[in-house]
Amino acid sequence: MDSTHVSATPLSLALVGNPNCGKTALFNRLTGARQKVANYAGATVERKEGFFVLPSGRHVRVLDLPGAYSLSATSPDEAVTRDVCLGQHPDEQRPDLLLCVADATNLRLHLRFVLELRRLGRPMVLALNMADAAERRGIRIDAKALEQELGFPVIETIAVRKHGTAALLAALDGRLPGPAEPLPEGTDLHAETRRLLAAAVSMPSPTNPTDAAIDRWVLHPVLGLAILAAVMLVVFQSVYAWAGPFSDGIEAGVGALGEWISSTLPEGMLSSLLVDGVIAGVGGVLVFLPQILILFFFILLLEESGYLPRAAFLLDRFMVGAGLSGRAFIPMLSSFACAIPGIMATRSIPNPRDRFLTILVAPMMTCSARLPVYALLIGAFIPDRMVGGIFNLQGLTLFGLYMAGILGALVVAWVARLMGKRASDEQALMLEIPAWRLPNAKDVLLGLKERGMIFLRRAGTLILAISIVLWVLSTFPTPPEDWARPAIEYSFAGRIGHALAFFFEPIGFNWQICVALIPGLAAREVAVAGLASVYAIAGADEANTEQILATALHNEWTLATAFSLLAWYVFAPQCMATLAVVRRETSSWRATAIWAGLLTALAYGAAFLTYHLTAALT
Amino acid sequence: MNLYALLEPAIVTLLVVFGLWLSLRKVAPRLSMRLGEASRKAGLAPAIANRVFGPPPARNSACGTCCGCDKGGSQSKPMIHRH
Amino acid sequence: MNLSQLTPGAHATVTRISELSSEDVVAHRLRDLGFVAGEPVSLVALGPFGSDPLLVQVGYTRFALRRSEAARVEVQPGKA
Repeated sequence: MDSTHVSATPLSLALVGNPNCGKTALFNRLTGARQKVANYAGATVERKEGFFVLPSGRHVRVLDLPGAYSLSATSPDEAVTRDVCLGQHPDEQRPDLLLCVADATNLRLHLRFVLELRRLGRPMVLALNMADAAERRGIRIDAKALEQELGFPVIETIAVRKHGTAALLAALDGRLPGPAEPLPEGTDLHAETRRLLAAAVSMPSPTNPTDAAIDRWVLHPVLGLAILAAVMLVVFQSVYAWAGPFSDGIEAGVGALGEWISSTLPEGMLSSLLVDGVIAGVGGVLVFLPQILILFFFILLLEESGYLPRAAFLLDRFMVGAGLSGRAFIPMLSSFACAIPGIMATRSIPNPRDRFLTILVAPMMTCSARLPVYALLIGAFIPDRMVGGIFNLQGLTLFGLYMAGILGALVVAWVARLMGKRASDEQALMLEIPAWRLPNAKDVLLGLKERGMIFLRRAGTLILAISIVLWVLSTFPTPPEDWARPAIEYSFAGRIGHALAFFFEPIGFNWQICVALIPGLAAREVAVAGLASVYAIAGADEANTEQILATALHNEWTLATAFSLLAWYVFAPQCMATLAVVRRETSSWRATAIWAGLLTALAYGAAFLTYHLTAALT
Repeated sequence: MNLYALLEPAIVTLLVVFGLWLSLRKVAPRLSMRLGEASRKAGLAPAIANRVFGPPPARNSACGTCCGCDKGGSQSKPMIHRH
Repeated sequence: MNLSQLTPGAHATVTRISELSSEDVVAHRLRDLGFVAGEPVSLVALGPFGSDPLLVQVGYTRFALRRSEAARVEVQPGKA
């Protein structure tokens, strides 16, 4: 094969390896930012593809397969890896070459999987990643001897360093290896791994002493939990504190754009569709971008460093007690910013039942979109006075609403566990606690960009579509000339609101609330704008509008109605974006319907109790 | 009547149709797949049907249209999928 | 004796993996992770709530195993 012939077709590579082998870092180093992230059709497994050019000019297409411990798959992720390696995946051509990645400090585990892959008889190259870390720990690997034993090229790489992949690129550029020679039938892979290790590797100690020292503190039963609490506090605080200015900036930009359009276009349908529909809907969701980016920045840092699995280790038993799994911790934490990244983060939970339960309870964590509604109602109904000298009654109410969500989630998960078939379907943990690692800035930034793009793509498609549909509902049919009341009352949304009032009357909602809940489906906080338009309130500016609205609500509603609406908001799943992400992540309308039904029933029950208790007490 | 007043309903209709189409594709992908299947059978050019309703589902994609999928997850043995 | 009965810091050698059913996925996965006869293991730490899960070292790797998972790993105490 000469090089001119070779460069005609792009070489297709698949990166295969155990979780935590530094595969994604290697993928980032090889491809730079030339990556495409998508989902496998109908599944929630991420498909990462990248491109690069070899020194000879040959183009390479590389697929970053999900990490797997074995070809006997136990999760949808591992099933994709298995299918692609076997050449059985429907959407994926069989790769020309399997580029196996193994952590040089963890060869006992990783070599076994390499041997399992060798059985497939495909052309293979083994990258011994993190060669620098191995050297620092005094691990000596005779790559030549290993290559001789395995029968395919073995190349040392350092994925976190700039030129750490030069040797690998050179090897890929040369003559490619032929199909790996499969092991004799019935070979014990563990025995073969031990034999290879004895022949080619000398390892002074099985563990890294620094890691063991850090873990003594971080995994300590008391100190470890204190450190975890501190980490969570810092993350939580930063999400709210740092995102503020950026969110305000986006909000101002969105507002200015709306202003500009309404002043440029003549008043009418088109201007209303663009300003009240598209800009209000998409803009209302875009405001959460800074929070989501900051949250994912921390999650990526914690993930890259190896802290997340340790947090799962610390909390597993506690979460199991509540019917969840230790892996549910990150989704729940993320949901305080927005349920969407939280539900997306449930992908790390391999068991489908655990995963659904986490998706069910994650939206009960008070997301930041509820805050404007809480702020409006608390401002209107809770007196601003001190309790016990240090606590503000309004602040205490807000804290109570947060706690109501958390307690509700724990109770629901606990009940679901009692009802679930516990004995027959055992939940497995078997979680690897990887070595501590210094997060690499480039890898964190690439991960952040990926998350941000996913969110923006949603806002540009799904949220846009829903905003337009909701605008149609609350605009048409247009009222006749002599209609004296707010226009929204005449629209589909108004009629639906009136019809819903029958259903919501037992929990103290008047028809105005029901109407406002409909535009609130686009994003929860839009309900505030909805209330303003049903009560036909328009102030000089936004702050002014809210002030007038709060006074109007105070005069119109009873305290019981206000509390009932707050209770409804703690649990109700009325956010189309969340509904859509649940649909996508579960790939099932039935599961989505059950999810929405359960949360609505819970919200209704809580609002009913709150309404009647408050009415009885006041 | 000026030009803007004439164009406005057309643009609004276009945007609303676009919004409904986008909702169909994003909110109800399976319904969209089925509609695509039906329209291809009814004689719509595959190229247009693919553009409007999305390409036909891939095999083993758990799309729910043929019930022949290896559902992954709990499966531990590789299965060869036949459509 | 099984892995879940070791005390923190104790070393042992795996003798076998017991399967609770004919197609025990957990047992299969434990074997893939390196819990096979003759492999040295040690119990590194215990979780803060109810001493669960267990942090177990096998080969060069550490895994968090729940008690029910660790109970499947039969061991012979003592450093190999």
